[in-house]
Amino acid sequence: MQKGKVLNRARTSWVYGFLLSLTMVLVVSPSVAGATEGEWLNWGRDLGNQRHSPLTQIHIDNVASLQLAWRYRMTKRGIPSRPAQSTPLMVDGVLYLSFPYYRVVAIEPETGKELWSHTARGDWNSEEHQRHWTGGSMRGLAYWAGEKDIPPQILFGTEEGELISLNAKTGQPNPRFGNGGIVNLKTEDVMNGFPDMHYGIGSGVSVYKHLVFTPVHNADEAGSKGPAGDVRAWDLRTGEHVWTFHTVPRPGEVGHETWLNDAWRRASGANPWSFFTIDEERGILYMPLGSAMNDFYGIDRPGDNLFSDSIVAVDAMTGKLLWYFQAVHHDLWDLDMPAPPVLFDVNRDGKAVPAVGAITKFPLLFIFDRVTGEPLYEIEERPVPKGSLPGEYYSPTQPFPVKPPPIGRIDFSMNDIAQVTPEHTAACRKLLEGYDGGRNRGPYTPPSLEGALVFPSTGGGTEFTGATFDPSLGYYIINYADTGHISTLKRVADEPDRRGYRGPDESPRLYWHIVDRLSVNGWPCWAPPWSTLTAIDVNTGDIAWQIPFGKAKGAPEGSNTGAPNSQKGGPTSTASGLFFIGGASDRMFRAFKTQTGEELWSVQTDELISGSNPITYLGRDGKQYVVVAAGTSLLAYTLP
Amino acid sequence: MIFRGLLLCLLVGSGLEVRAQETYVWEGVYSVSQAERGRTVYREACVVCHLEDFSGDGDAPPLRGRGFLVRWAELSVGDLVAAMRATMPKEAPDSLSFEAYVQLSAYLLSANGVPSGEKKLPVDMDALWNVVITEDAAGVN
Repeated sequence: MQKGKVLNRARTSWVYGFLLSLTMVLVVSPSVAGATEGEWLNWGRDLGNQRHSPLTQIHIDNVASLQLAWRYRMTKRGIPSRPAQSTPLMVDGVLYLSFPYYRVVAIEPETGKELWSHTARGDWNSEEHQRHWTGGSMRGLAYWAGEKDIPPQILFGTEEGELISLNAKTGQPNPRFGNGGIVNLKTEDVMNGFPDMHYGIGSGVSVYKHLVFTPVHNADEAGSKGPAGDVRAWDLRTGEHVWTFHTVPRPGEVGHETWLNDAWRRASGANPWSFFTIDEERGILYMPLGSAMNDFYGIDRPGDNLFSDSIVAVDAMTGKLLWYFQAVHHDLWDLDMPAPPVLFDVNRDGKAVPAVGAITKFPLLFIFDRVTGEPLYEIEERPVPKGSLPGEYYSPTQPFPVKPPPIGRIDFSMNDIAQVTPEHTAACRKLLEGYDGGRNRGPYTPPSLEGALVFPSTGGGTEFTGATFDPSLGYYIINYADTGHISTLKRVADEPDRRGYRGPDESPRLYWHIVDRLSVNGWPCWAPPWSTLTAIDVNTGDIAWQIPFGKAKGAPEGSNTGAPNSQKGGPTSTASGLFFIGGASDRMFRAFKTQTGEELWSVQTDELISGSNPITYLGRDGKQYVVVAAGTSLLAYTLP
Repeated sequence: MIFRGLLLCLLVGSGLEVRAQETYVWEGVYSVSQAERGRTVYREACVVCHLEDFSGDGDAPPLRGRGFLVRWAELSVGDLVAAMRATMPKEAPDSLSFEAYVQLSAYLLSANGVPSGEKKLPVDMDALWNVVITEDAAGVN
């Protein structure tokens, strides 16, 4: 076990102190080792998830002339389809795309012509899948260059709990990986005695050296018990298990004491369900972990519940804990850490400090020295409201960084009611009066039996599509939606007829979580902007610029509302000083000037870009393409 | 009325396979009464998220306009019904009757400017696979 101090409230164990000295000489930005400039090798391009391309053919002065080059349709008659939340890869002249119903295709990057197609097994429409919101899965792929006599591979996981390795050239499963190209992830050690509960992969796996790391989507609608949210590493050559990191620590492990009354036993959640981040040079894996089960109450899991809602850094080759930070103690809001951490350098006194930025669904960005875990901007534990649910454990404080400031709404009073039109304000006032004005008592107001307005809603805030980072400016850029809802708990025993999943008999749900979105005709009842784009200067901790993101349907000109719920679909920047982003609920795909947030180009897509990030690459024809999944189509834009 | 009765005879492998007769949605494939019943279903099960004007809210996509027709173009009403049954209503997929999903399809076609006709959409999945959706009536002779 590692040595070093664990600071109870700073939640940081500085274990690898010896690496600190190393950082003084290693000032290189997260690398894209092995990637040519024109490729897109990982979900976030580099394993540090900067989502930043060095390509400059499309630039500020010509981006307005972008045109649709081709469209790849993910639909075929007689084959079920639903909108994709996918981000493709482009490697060695081939575009790879995953999308719902377990489909993976290889596509010619210049034409959209399909080269091969693979459909993994599984019953996407089963009752289990419908119960657990698996519809947006197959969000990304990982590429492994192979070795010796193993050709390059495409890796992905399914909601069936299977990890699959395909030959990148043919789409055929690798016969030497697991059982015919498939590794069964639903092993006894993670199923915790609940073999019939859901365990799968919704987002993407990550590859480093000869290892592949698996996240997990598990059933957070049940009681506190269920399959583990553990992170595991597997050997890409054979499919053999290499290591496991217990996200709910066991006796003797760091953080075990944060589960009071033996609540750790078979507790579930604290799972990484989006994408990992990796410091390739230092061999550090960063896990963004989600909330513990149940999402909205925790009477059966007293304590702070490490490592839920934490960023955890481990040695990528061994899984040994290096440091961690818990952003939300004893989560009662389902705040998760959905956005993958982003690696970048922070300039301190002329020296580049290797850093990592982490954000939950809550609008606070925490920035750390990514080697030591030491905060680069001070973090304070501030008192937060206590609730009144019988038997509930309430953390008396939650962490707030002194910098950067919140990028979205964290509280509400009737002074904050939306004033976009008189009719909307009046309708909202009526709604809010039904809840005594919202009963919000400041940041981290907990759910309650009578209902309280909390920010953000379960949907975030931020989403798994995350941020981009422009290293030339030092800007971390992310879209944020000021979602909120009335969060009400009702005892299942008191409302046995309510429709909804009650969990298995061994782990029954104790409270229904009932939501009132407090919106009128799609407009939220609090003051806009309802969605924003924000650039944070990581060198100063200040907001460089912040703009409304999108336009609310029917809103008066100049009301700067932003388009509500525009957090799904992240930005991608380029070295020519611009970034692309879909994800706005007004169905626009846009390009902005990175330095200022000035909008440079937009086009309305037929279907919503939701859960998909654009990528950009150089085709064999010498042209730079920008590609994004919009619903059931993959759209490719280029200059005329 | 634009009309094309299309018979696709496909030779597959060494055997002879005949794909059943296909029709296009623009050929009057649903009745006014089906669409009216579909409107009732829509108001009960869909309007909360997709809104009265079909424009959608948040994750709920618009169900009227080019986006809808592009999404379903070259697919069939069978694909549309299958997808709705599998995913909608969001809180309780496949909780409506099969006939209600078919009526809902008729209503959505109506909302997208697809004309009604003498025929009815069959409450028969095998038959619905052969009712083809296109972006518009162009090319349907």
